[in-house]
Parts: sequence; C-alpha cells; structure tokens
Amino acid sequence: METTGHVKNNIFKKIKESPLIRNLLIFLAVLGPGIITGSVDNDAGGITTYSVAGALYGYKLLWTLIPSFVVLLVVQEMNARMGIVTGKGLADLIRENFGVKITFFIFLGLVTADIGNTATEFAGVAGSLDIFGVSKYISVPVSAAVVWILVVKGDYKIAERIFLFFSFCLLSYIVSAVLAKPQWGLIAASFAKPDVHFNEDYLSMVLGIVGTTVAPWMQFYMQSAVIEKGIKIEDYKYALWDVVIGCIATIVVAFFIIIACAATLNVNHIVINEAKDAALSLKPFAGIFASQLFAFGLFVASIFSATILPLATAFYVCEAFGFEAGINKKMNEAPQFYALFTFIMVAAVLIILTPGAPLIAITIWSQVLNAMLLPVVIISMILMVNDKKIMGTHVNNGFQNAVGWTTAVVLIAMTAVLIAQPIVNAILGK
Amino acid sequence: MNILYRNFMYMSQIIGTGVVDHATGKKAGKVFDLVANMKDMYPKLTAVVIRRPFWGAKITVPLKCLKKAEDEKIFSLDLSGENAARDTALGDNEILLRETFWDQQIVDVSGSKVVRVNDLHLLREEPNLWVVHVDIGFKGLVRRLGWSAWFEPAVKWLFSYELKDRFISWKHVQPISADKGGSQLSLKGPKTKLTELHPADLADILIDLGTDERLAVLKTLDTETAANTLKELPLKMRVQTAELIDLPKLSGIMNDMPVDEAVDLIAHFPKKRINAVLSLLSRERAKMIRGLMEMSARAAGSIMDVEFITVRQTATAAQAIENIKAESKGKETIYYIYAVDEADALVGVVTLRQLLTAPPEKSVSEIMRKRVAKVRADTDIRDVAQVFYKYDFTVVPVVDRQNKMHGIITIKDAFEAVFPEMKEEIER
Repeated sequence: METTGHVKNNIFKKIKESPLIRNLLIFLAVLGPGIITGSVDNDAGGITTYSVAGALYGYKLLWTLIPSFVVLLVVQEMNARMGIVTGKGLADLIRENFGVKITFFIFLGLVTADIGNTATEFAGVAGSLDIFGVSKYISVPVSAAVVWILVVKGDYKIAERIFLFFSFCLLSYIVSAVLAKPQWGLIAASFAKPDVHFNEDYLSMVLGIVGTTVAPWMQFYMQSAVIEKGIKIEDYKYALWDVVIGCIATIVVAFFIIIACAATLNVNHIVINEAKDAALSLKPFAGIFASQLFAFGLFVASIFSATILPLATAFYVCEAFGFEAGINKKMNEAPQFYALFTFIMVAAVLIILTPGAPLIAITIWSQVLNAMLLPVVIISMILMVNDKKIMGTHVNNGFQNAVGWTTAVVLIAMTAVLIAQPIVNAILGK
Repeated sequence: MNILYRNFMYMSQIIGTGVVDHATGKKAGKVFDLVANMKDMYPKLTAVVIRRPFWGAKITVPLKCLKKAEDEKIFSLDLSGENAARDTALGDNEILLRETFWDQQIVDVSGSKVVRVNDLHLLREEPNLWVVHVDIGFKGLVRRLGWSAWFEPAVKWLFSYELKDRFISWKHVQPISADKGGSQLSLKGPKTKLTELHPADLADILIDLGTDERLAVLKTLDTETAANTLKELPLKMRVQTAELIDLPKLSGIMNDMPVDEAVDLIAHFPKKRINAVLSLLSRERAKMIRGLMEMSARAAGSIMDVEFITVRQTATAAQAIENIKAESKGKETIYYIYAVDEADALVGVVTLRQLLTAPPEKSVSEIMRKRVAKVRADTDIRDVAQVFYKYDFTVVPVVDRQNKMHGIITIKDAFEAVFPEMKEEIER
C-alpha cells in the first residue's frame, strides 16, 4: 500500500517537474485577462463599426486593422506590465502621479465617452431585439433593469462566464466571410497598397475603428484584471502571451466581420441603417437563419458590455477619487459607486429612447470620442511606465515608446483634422 | 487676512501660492511643497520648497523666510541676513508633505482601512505650524479642484446641504507611500502605528495596497506579526508577496509561522528559492519543512501541524501544567495535551481543563483518556475529515505505524483541505 503510493507520488512528481508541463500549467494559470479583454472588445460598438466600415468602404479600410493591432498590443502589454509590477489600478496610478485636476478631466472625458458607449450597447440590444419584433421602448428598459438587478443583487462572476461562452457566436462571421467568396486579391491589395483619404467621413470611420479596437476604458479594465489574477513578475512572459492571443482574437474577428460585410453588403450597395441590414452579412453561413443568428450574437455581446462598461467606469472613478467601490459592497457602504453606476445606465437608456435617435450614428460617434480620449490615456500611461520610481527596472524599451508616442501623435493629428475640416470648409464656403 | 496667519489652514491653500522677493518685489516663484519634521507627535513644518518661475529650479527655504505680503494672495520671501536658502536634501525625520500625502493612500489606523488623502489640515501655534488632520472627504476634493468658492454655495442653495469635512486625526494616520527609486523600500516616517492593528485587519489593508507599499509595510512589522499577517492573505497574493521579501526577513517570518503554513507557502516557490530559504532556517526546522513537503498532497501528513504539546504519562498534573507554560509559545493549540510513553508512542490524551481541575499530584496516566481517536500520516485527508465528523473533535493527533506521534490536525486545516474552494471564496 505504502510502496504503490510512493510510486504514484513519484510519477506525479515527475510530471509536475517536467519543464513543458510546468510551463503549460503556469500559462493556464496566468491566462485570462488578455483574452477576456479581447472578447469584451468585440461589443455592439465594435460589431456595428466594423459592419458599417465593411458595408460602406468594402475592403478599403482593412489596412487600419494592422496599426490597430500594433497599438492594441503595445498598449495592453504596458497595462499588463504596470499591473504586475505596481499591483495598482490605472486610475490609482493616474491620481497618484498627475494629481486631482488632470485626473478629473481625464475621468470627465471617460465618463462622457462611456455613457456614449453604454448607449451604444443598448442600441445593440434595441437593434437585435428589433429583429425579433420587440420595440426598443420595451427591450431597452427591460434589459437595463435586468442588468441593474444582476449587478446589484446577483452573481456577476457567473454571468461573466456565461457571456464569455456565448461570445463564441462571433466566430460564425469567419465561416460566413469564407462562404461569401470574398475577393482575396482585393483584400491583399488593401493591405499592400492602402487607399487613404482625408475627407471627414473617411477619417471619422478610421478613427472609429481605432477607437473601438483600442477603447480607453479597456486599458483600465485590463490592468484591474491583471491585478486580480495576482501574476508574479517572473511569469510576465506568460502574461505577454495571454495579451498577444487576446489581441489576435480581437483583430481576427474584426477582420472577418469587415470581410463578411464587404462581400455581402458592399457589393450589393446595401447601406446599413439599422441592425437588420447588418444581419444580411451572415446569410452565406446561416441562410434564412442569418437574422436570428446575428440578433442572438449581437444581443449577447451588447448585454455583456452593457453590464461591464457602466460597472467598470463607476469602479475606476471611485478608485481615483477615493470612494468605496465594488460589487461585494452593499449599497449604503458604497453609495457613490452605485449612484454613478445607475446614473450611467439611466443616461444611456434615455439617449437611446429619445424618439428618432440615430442609433448607428450614435454608435460611430461614441467610438470617435473614444479615439479622441485614447491619446490622453496613452500619454499618461507612457509617462508613468517610463518612471523608474514606479516601474523600477521594468520601464519601456525604445520600440514601445516609439509606438506609443506615434499613436498618440497620429490620433491627435487625425482628431484635429476631423474637427478642423468642417470649420475650414465653412470658411472656404464649400 | 493672509492665509499663513490664520489659526487653521489647508495645505492646498498654501501650495501654488505666488511668492515675491521681499527686497526687490520681483516674482520669486510659487510654493511647490512643504517640508515637515516627523520627530514629534505631530509633523512640524520646517521648510518650504519654492519652484522658480517657468518650471525653474526648486529651492528650499526655512519656514520663517516666508512672510505675509501686502497683497493677501501672495507671500513674500525674505532671504536677507541669516535667512539663507538651505540645503535641498532632507534631514533625518524630514519628509515632503505634498509628495508623501497628496493623492496618495494612507492607512487610517482607527478605522483600519486604506484611504486616499485629498488634503492636509494645518494648525498654527505661534511660531510653529503643525499637521493635525488628514482630509479624506469630498469637500477636500472640491477644494483641490479649486471650486470651493462656487461649488459649496451652489450645493447649499440647491440641496440645502452643507458639505462637511472628513478628517482623520494625525494620531491615527500611517503614511505608506514607498518608491522604487532608492535601493531600499521603506515607509516614510520614523515609527509605525500599524502594530496596534490585528493581523487580520492588517491583511485586509495589505490587500488594498500596491506591491511596493505591501512590501514596505511588511518590512516594518516584526517577524511574528508579519507571519500572522501574511498567513491571512489570499494564497496567490501571499505567494506573490513572500517571493519578493528579502531572504533574511523571509526566513525570520518562516521561523515564526506554524510549520504547516510555512510548507503551504514555500511549496509554491521556485526550487532555487526554496533551497535558499531553507538554508537560512535552523537545521531542525528545515528538516521538518522538507519532511512535510515530501508527503503526498492527499495525505494527512501534508496538512498536519508539527507543533503540539506532549507530556510523559508518568508526569504529575502539576508538572504537566508547568510543561505547558514552558512550551506553549508558537503552538497552534494547547487545549489538548498528548501523553506518551518512554518510546514516544501515543498512549492517551488530557485536556487543559482536566489538568487544571485534577489534584496536582495525580499522574497524567490516571486522568487521561486512553482511547484516542487518531489518524495515520498516510491517511487520506477525506478520511481525516470523516474522523472529525464522527468524533466531534476540534483536533486529532497524527501518528506513524509505530504509534509515534508526529503532529496534529485542527478541524480548520482539515476543512480547508477538503474544501479548498471554500477557502478561496472567503479570501476573495
């Protein structure tokens, strides 16, 4: 009895000590933050923006995914590294290093953008349930109430897992894109020779794609998720792989959504005015069930993000300003947290329920707002991640700084052009 | 009246204020930071850091060089005579108030939680200025944003609600900011108030801190408190933190931890570090830890605590009590005392109550219960849990084949071993 136990022990020990298994185990333990962030990234705003981009411009905007990928990777890697080294959230770090005033204005921007983003998520809910014939005046308030109760009274962690599972629905875009027989030659050409314009529509579309792929609030979310995992600095390389996989997943899904829409909608000159139109892009895969599949996928993605977004935003604001926060706290223990969470939800719902609200336009413009806020967040991140007092020996290398600064400068320039163009046009009397 | 001459003032009212040269009346810069000496019960302001115009150089001047100016909104800087600018380097016990406190986290020792500082409240007691309160309230936040003048009346007018200060008395404030800049992480300020706290509260505080601050706090604690605090942290954070503690301190902490807890912790380290830590422990203790680590994770031996109290069955009750007094330090439980024979084989058990109430001269073998529920070191932990369930004990002894006693398992250890997920849940 004792000898067999001993032998068993030895085998078990050997397996545990094999470097391959050991590495795999650590990797699995570290896995998560990057991949979850990647899936949350493809929310209603993302699906809508990519769909509209594909429908309007065909394959022409595919090239934007390459810089988006590089920026996403570099930014999220910085988040992961900052989280692991400091053990502090991004909001905490911004407050401690830039003081009250700068923090206040960053968060004013973030809350505004996130109300827009949350409205976008509810637009997704409205659009998807509209396909099943449910009026937005019913679907939006009901789903908002359900989300609110889920967060305040329910178990958020379980809900998160269920949502993540259903986010595999998005993979149907890959099948649909392939079955639609897209023109692969044109796709390759769009990467090899990007077709760049400087008119308002084109620029706002590009900014929208970047803004939805690298949404500022995701940086806060990512860093908190890394801290919650309790990753050690020795295991940093595994965390890096987690980030890489998450970014690839995000970009691959975005790539196929654009292709699916380009190959089905753009060639037939269908303009997306509401969610129903975007559902056509799934026809090659799902046939007559395209609408239902699209609606279901969009609904899950929207509800998921509609839960996380207001919650995360309220959390970071409280973190930065020193209020109690967290869903494990009771309402009277963290009044500011719950008040802010509720305020964001209500504001978003009111925007969507305004009669005649242009849902698709709201979506695109809230992504543009994201893109405008992004350079501010990136610049403050670069400044902190290069500070030896904060990061010790884990400061940025030259490449990371180059990508970070370039992103910030390019985004600021594009935003400036976008804002200046209508003014210049007005002056020139066009 | 000029702010410097009021009885109470906030740091935010001083920092950023313009300074003009007393002799020439020219702009000399703005107040950038305040230097305070931490030697006394309350921090006493000693000097002022002034930044020259246009983000110029910073100079440090003694507090008395700052005078009121004709314009109430500015200060005048008198550097004549013996009032020369002093060395920028901080003296012993000196800290920079803005850098250490503004926007940073501190521990509120009275409420035992981590809070963020919005402002500092100063008291003038001629000729000194003291830091008396730390402002953590919303009002402080509004003041820092520079909105007090319109925001407070607006709130009062709209909601008939007056914003109130939320202060923490300096007596209950423990600064915790630490930075990676120097080679040594340490808490600013001479002595720590954290030792007043219970280790479980300390652990809750550590959870709310960043990695560096967590280490700095642990470093200031004595090894016994550090050991008790560390074992209250969630496992992941415990391992993450312990791996960063320097080896001498860590081995001290390991010495003060119950052996089973030490094994739990050390088993998660990389091999190199395990060896490094064990080499610093006493040979016996290292051997005990290694011994326990060899055990299968499913066997009773892997969760047992090897520190317990035994007594020879021939000893008298009085001797046994003396024995307990001498050995009780560091033992997880002293309620059960195990009686052994000459060969160290377990022959019975007495409770502390039995020993205390028995006549002192009676021998242990006469009062002990001879039928002892016990488990073997290689018993599966599930079976151990069943023993607890069946016999309604809080502690069972662990023996080997020769009935020699090796350790004890408490009901808590057994419970945690059977329901590891429950432990994680509580820790979250």
